[in-house]
Amino acid sequence: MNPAPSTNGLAPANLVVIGASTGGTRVVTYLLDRLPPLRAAVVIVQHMPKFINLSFARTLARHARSEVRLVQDGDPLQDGAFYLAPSDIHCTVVANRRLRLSPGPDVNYVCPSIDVTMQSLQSPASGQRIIGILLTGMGRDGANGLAYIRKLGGVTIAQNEASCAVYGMPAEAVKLGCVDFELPPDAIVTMLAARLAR
Amino acid sequence: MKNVMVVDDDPGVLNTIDLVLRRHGYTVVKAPNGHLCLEHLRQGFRGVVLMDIMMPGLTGWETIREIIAANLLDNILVCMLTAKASPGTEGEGLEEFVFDYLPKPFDNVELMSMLDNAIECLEP
Repeated sequence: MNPAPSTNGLAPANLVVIGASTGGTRVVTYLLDRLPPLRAAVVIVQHMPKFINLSFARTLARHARSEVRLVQDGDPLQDGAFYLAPSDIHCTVVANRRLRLSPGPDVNYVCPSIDVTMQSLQSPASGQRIIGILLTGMGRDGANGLAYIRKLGGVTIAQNEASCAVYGMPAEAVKLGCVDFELPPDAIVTMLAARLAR
Repeated sequence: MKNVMVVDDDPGVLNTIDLVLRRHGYTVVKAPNGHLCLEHLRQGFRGVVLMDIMMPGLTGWETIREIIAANLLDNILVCMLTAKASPGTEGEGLEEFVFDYLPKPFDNVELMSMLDNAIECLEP
């Protein structure tokens, strides 16, 4: 969890937003444990109590092969890094380049809301890929966000029912008809590695 | 801090999980209903709370709402154990407070995987 070096203001080559809730920490840890370094900035919005923010970020850092940061307001997005959104504040992406933390009311009963983060993305620049991933969780947070990413021309992935602790959020996204791929965690790793590995 | 509180009205489930977890080095507190769970939390329990949903008196969901109302959430992670495959609407609004969810029947490998992850997240 070292501070990110300064950037020249360039957007990351690719952007991935992962949303997760109940049961998600196991899956997110699994993904980061197995993913190779990616040519993408990966933003993770995991619903969790605030008091485990640091310990979960440390857990992810132990498993990941790339830098893991607990997001601070203004963080520039860089390829190869994982950005974990902190609790009790919404996390948005500014111009596909930078992260902003903003207080606000709960959305879908939660803060940070996956929908808020995903719906802050902008159309990808030429050659840039945006991938939205919705993992296990109660409720429906992230479903509209995934639909939004699809409208932007991004690729959308929902964790498949058989591998979910709670097939809530991914099911809501599937109902919206906005999911390109329904995959178990190992196949999510394979797909991200195939499309984004350095 | 390998502390686990098992909240379940079925003595068979309580004793089985107790046995399994102790074999894996966990310290186990047993609560046969939601009221005793709340009492253990007021007395300072810290760790993972394995909560059954279908219980007489306070259900698992009602117990969580009581925990939130009493501001007893600091330093605990709540994992639900349930015969239901999906929480349905009863868990609405509790998305941030249910850390993990394990449908019954489960095997020991699944249980330990969930608990080990939760304990890792609780470590300072």
